[in-house]
Parts: sequence; structure tokens; C-alpha cells
Amino acid sequence: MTDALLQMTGITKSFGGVPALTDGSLSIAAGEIHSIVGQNGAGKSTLIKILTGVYRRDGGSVRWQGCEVDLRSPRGAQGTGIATIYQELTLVPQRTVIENIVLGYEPKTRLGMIDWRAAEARTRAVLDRFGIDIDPHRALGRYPTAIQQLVAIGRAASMDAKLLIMDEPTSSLDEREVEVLFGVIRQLKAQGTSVIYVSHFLDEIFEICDGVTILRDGRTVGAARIAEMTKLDLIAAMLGRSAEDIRKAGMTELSGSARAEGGAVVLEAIGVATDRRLRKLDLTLRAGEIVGLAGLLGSGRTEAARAIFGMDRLSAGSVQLADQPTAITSPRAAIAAGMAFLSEDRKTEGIVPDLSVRENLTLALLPRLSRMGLVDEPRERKIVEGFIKALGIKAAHMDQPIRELSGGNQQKVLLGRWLAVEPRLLILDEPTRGVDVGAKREIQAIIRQKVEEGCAVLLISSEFEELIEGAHDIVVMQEGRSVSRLSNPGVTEDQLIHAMAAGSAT
Amino acid sequence: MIRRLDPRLSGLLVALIVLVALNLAITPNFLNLQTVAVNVSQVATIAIVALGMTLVIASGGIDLSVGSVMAVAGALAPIIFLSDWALANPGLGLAASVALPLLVAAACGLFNGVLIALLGVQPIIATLIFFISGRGIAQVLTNGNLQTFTNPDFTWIGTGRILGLPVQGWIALLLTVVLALVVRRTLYGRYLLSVGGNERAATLSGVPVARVKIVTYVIAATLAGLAGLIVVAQNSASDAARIGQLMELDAIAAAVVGGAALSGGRAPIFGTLLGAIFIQLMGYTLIANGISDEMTLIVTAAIIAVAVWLQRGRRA
Repeated sequence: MTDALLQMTGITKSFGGVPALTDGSLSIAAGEIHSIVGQNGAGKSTLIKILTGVYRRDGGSVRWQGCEVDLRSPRGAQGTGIATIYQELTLVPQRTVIENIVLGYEPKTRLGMIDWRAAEARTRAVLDRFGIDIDPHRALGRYPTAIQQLVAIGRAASMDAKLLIMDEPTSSLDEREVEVLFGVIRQLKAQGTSVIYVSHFLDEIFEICDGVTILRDGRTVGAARIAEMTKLDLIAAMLGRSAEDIRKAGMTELSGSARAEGGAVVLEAIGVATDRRLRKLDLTLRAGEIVGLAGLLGSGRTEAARAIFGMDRLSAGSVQLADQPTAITSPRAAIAAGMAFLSEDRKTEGIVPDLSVRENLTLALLPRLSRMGLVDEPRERKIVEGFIKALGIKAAHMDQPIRELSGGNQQKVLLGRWLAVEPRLLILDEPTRGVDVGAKREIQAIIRQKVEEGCAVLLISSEFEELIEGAHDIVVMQEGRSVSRLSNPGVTEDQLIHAMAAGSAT
Repeated sequence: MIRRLDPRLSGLLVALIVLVALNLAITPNFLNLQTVAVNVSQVATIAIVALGMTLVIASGGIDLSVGSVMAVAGALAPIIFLSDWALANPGLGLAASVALPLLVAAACGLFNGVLIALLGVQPIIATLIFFISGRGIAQVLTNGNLQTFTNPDFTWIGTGRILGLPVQGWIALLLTVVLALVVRRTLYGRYLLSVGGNERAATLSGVPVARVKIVTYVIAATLAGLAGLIVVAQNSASDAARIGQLMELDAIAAAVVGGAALSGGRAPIFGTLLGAIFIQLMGYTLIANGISDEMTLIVTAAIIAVAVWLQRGRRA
């Protein structure tokens, strides 16, 4: 491996005496698209942050184009030729596309003013190269997240980086946009740029990557060519189990839940529309049943959940909850009526970062935990302790701020928030997105248990496996309408894809 | 249950102790009861207003109108107890001259809260309305005159002593303890921190966001009203043009030095009290040691900047 662009070996890093990495290594060739996989807490982000100069390593060596380097700061790493596209967008939505592309690297005229003509030319070159057709003079924030993300990638590529790090770049893209992104990545590869591609979507890794490095418990446990691996091998390596065990257990933990036959109708939505891209939703949910909501991004799945949960005003139709005579017009009323809604957006609609695990977990339950306006803290602690145990939440203690937890553990706390109110209808929007494989299986097992206790679940998911193995019925949405309902067992991935795409052809 | 002291708070505490030690060494008569009383009476009104400001800041907002609310409450009180009705019914008159201004102050807070929570006006703009108009209203109420009076019962809240210390100092201390408990133990307190910490998450979790905000501005305005009464009582005079002038900035400074973050989600009540005391003591130390007023302002500002810098929240 003399021609390796990057060679990291024996990297160690501890935080306050707690080791995050004990033996991390990573080797990337020029023009290679490489993925790093591992459960949350395996050391993925620590390894990447050492590479991008955010953290400094305690030990080990980093060789860049054959020479030992010391990456002291993000700016320094960028100077070396390592650019990063972060999971959270780090651009300025109020400013124009041009301003964002040249931000920090503005071309200057001889008088030291910004040379806007050169800036525009550079921006147009970047946009053309990646086939993004937008007006560069408009504010970036007026474009969809996907476009913003592509602009961020274009920006990084325009800085002539030799290694581009992408952390969950597709989490907010729809399929077509993912294809555009993949086109961009392949183009970068053809020009000799290497890419580190981190994603929870294993399908994507198999589609786009050449090689993969697997981390577990702070050490690199393997590196392989993607072509020589199966998906099951990869999952098994991440979990440290044998592929055979997993094959027997089924791919997701949702599978195998028996449907409670003839459960009472919990929710009936008829012809529901809102001003937010929801045109006509018909949906019946029974106790003890998981109904999946499938559809492409923008097909109105989340909007359907928002309408049912009282977040958006209905412009037509009705949502009828059993034993609930009045219409639900706010989340507060929805919760009081026995609903719960786990939003897909953990950061902006889920956690309250500065509050503790305990305070986050009981936020929705709080009215029932208080008397005369005082919170019954001993009782609260007992309940939280129960959930931390039942959900396997890994936190130092329940008074730890939730922002210090890993994504998977934050998600478990939020799931706990909603299980705590003992809902009869649980709406889950992408409950396992951005969560590592282990936590994902645990979360799915908890959902199944809840359903067996008689809870009705509306499951929104972009993962076909999760829907097909988990849901009893799958309602397919297209352009804001519920268009078909597939019944399990027997639904195949092909059928589902067909149902999602059908209609757009006719 | 023992909780570890917030490191930000302990830093402030150390700074205060150093300041006190310094004064013991260099400032003559520092521990003299009279000196202490003067300092306490000066800091009490700032602290009371700052407590309310801390709640508002914790909700993610800001309240510029507190000084004007003080002026309105302060202008109203003498008008009430100097009226013919109050002179005929001294007991009731006294009660009304405390209760009515506080009610009016609360109504001002309600106005702010409704603008912000229901109409979606940005807090800095919404409270700017009363910041400007409130002082005008106070001056109209008093025809722009300085009202002087003698009413020992009323002035007790500004000049009285309990165990040798000014009444308003005890009031500030009591309010600090009460509000700290409110933040720590009540449904409202928890809701306040969640609204300031992540409003959308709070809404989705069933928190009555609008109500929480309105209550917060009402509390802040009521506390400001109380501070206005204390200032008037202290001076045995009400000057609508001057009461509470620049108080909003003193209160914000105390809250920020005490560890409040303007982004919301944190309500360090004890920190605010310590912050107010720190700023007061700083100014006193400089003046008592012969440094000019002008220099004192500059040095105080520099020290506030350092204090804020020292206690930036460290985030990973």
C-alpha cells in the first residue's frame, strides 16, 4: 500500500480518561470511495474528527501522501486537502448561493473588494459541473434541503480537496437527488478525488463504495473490498456476531409479530387534506396493528402524521379517534386523547439539548406527574429509571444533559418520552433513522412489544425491509394521496416499489 | 439529594469571595453595618428586576420594558395613597397603593406576552413598544411633576430594616429562593426551560407554549412593578422621568453575568442574584477607593466582559 493517499494507524483517543478509540486505522487510496461503518459509539465520528482536525489524537500516526502529518485544526486539515460535508448543513441560508459557494474563499479585486463577477463565474462552473439548475442570485434557504446539500458538496469540491468526507449526506435527500449525488461522487472519483462516505443506509454503501473499514468498540476490526462482501457479512462484522445467527433471526426485529385479529378501530381518517401538500388521506388503524406508511420523499407521509397529530389545520376531511368526540387541533389535545408522535427530526423537534435525560423523557408525561403545579420528582425518578433499564439507554446518570448522549441513545430517550404517556396510538416517523444497527433492533423490539400489548402503530419509514417485515398493512402514498393498501404477509419489495411508483406512469 | 454546583456558578462565587476579601483588605469600614445596608438597598431593586429578566431570557426572549413598568408602578402608588379616598381610609389606601400598581404592571406584562406569544412579534420589538410608551404614560399620570410625600407606612418597603438590613434586601432574597424553587420543582419551571431550549420539541410534547411565555412576561413585569414601588418608597418621591432608567440593561447584565444564555433554556436564579451582587460590589469597590465615576463605568464594563467570557458554556 505505498500508493495510499491516507494511512492512519494505531490511532488512540480518550475523553476524560474514557477511551473512545483504542486502535483505529484507516487506509484510503487515491480515487477510492471508502465507507466507515460501525455502531454508535464504535469510534466512527472520533476517527473522522481526528482526520478533520477537530480533535487531536493521543497516539498513532497519520500519513498523508506518504508523509507524516499533524492535523491541528479544521482549517489546517482543509489546507492539507481534506474537506468535510457535515450532517448538519453549515451554510448561511439567508445569503445567496454565490455568497455561500465562495464564503471564506472570496475572490478579491486588486482593491481588496470582493470580485463578484469572478465569484459568479466560479459558482456557475460548480453548479454546471454537478448539473444543479438553480438561480445563484437567490437566497440559498429558498431551495430544498437537498439542493442546499448539493451546493455544500459543490463548494467543497470547488476548493480542490483531495479527500472529501461526507457524513450521512443522503439523510434528507429523495431517491432522484441521491442519484444526482452519486453522479457527483463518481465524477469526483474519476477526477482522482477520494471520498469517505459515511451512511447508515447499507444499500448506498454497496452501490457507491469501493472499500469499507469496520469499527467496533473503538478499534478497527476489518477492512475489505465491498465487492467481496454481502450485506449480511457487513452487519455481522459491525455487531460482532456470525452472519448465520442473524440470518436465522430475520433482518429486522419487527418481523414475526402476530396481528391481533379484529382489533377495535382506533383511528379513522377520511379524505384528510391540509395546506401542506396533503391532498387526500384515507386511513384506518386498529388496536394491535402496525400500519406502515410508504412513499417517496415528498409524498406526504410526514404531513399525514402532522395532520393526525393536530399540528396542521385540516382543510378538508375528518380524523376520528375512537371515544373522542371533539376534533384534535393541537399536539397537546392529541396527547391528552392518547396519541404520541415521534418526529423524524430528532434535533429540531425532539430533544431539548440542555435538559437532562430525565427531564427530556418525562416532558410529555409531566402534567400527569404533577399535582398543584409541583412535579413529583421521586415518582419521576422511579419512572425514568424504569425506562432507562427497559430501553437499555446508555447514560452516565439520568441527570446528564441529553446532548451528551449518542444519537441512538437520544432516540431511545425520545421513544421513552412517548411510551411513558401510554398511548393507544403511536405514530413513528423514521424511528430508526440515523441510529446504529444495535439500537435499531432494540427499538424495533420495543415497538413490537407495544403492539402486542394492544397499541396501534403508524410506522413511517423509508426502509423497505422495515416496512415489509414490520407492518401488517402498508398504505402507499403518492403526491399527498393515499393510493393503495398492501396486506402482509406476502408483500414483496418489488410490489411495494411498484405501488409507490405506479400512477406516475399512467 | 445533593447536586454538584454548576461550575459557572462556582466561578462567580469565587470571584465574589475574592472581591470581598480585597475590600476587607483595602476599603475602610467595609464591614460596617451602614456600608452593607447601603449596598444591599442599592442592589435589591436590580436583583428583583433581574430575576424576572432571567425567566424571560430562559424562555428565549428579552424584556426591554422593565424600566418603564417600574416608572408606571412608581408613579401610580403616590397618586393612590395621596388621593382623598386613601386619606380617608388609610389602611385600605395603603393596600391599594401597593396592589393596584402591581396589577397594572402585571397587565403590562400581559400585553407584552400576548404580543409575543399569540401575535408572534419578536420580543425585542414587542417590549420596545412599552419601553417607549410606558415612561410617557408615567409622566402623563404625574403631569411630568416630581411628587414628594411623607408616608412612613409606605416608605417602609424602601427604608425599613429587619435585623439591621433593608427590607428590600430580604424581599430580593425571599424572591430568589421562591423563584429558584419554581424553576426547579414546578411544572411551569420545567415547561419554561423546554420552551426556551427547543420550542418546537416543547410544542410537540404538549407544552402550552403560549401560556408559558405569557406567564413569564407577567412575572417579569410584576417584579419590575415591585422594584418601582421600592425605588419610590426609598426616595419618598416619585420622578416618572427617572425611575428605572437603564434598569433593563442592568438587569440583563446581572442575568448574563449570572450565567443566563440569551439563546434560552437556562434559568440560573441564584447566579442572577450573585451576578447582581457582583456588579454592585464591583462598582462600590472602585468608587470607595477613590476612582472616578467615569472610570468606574469603564472598569465595570470590562469586568463584566471578562466574567461573561470566563463562563461561556463549553460545548462539545
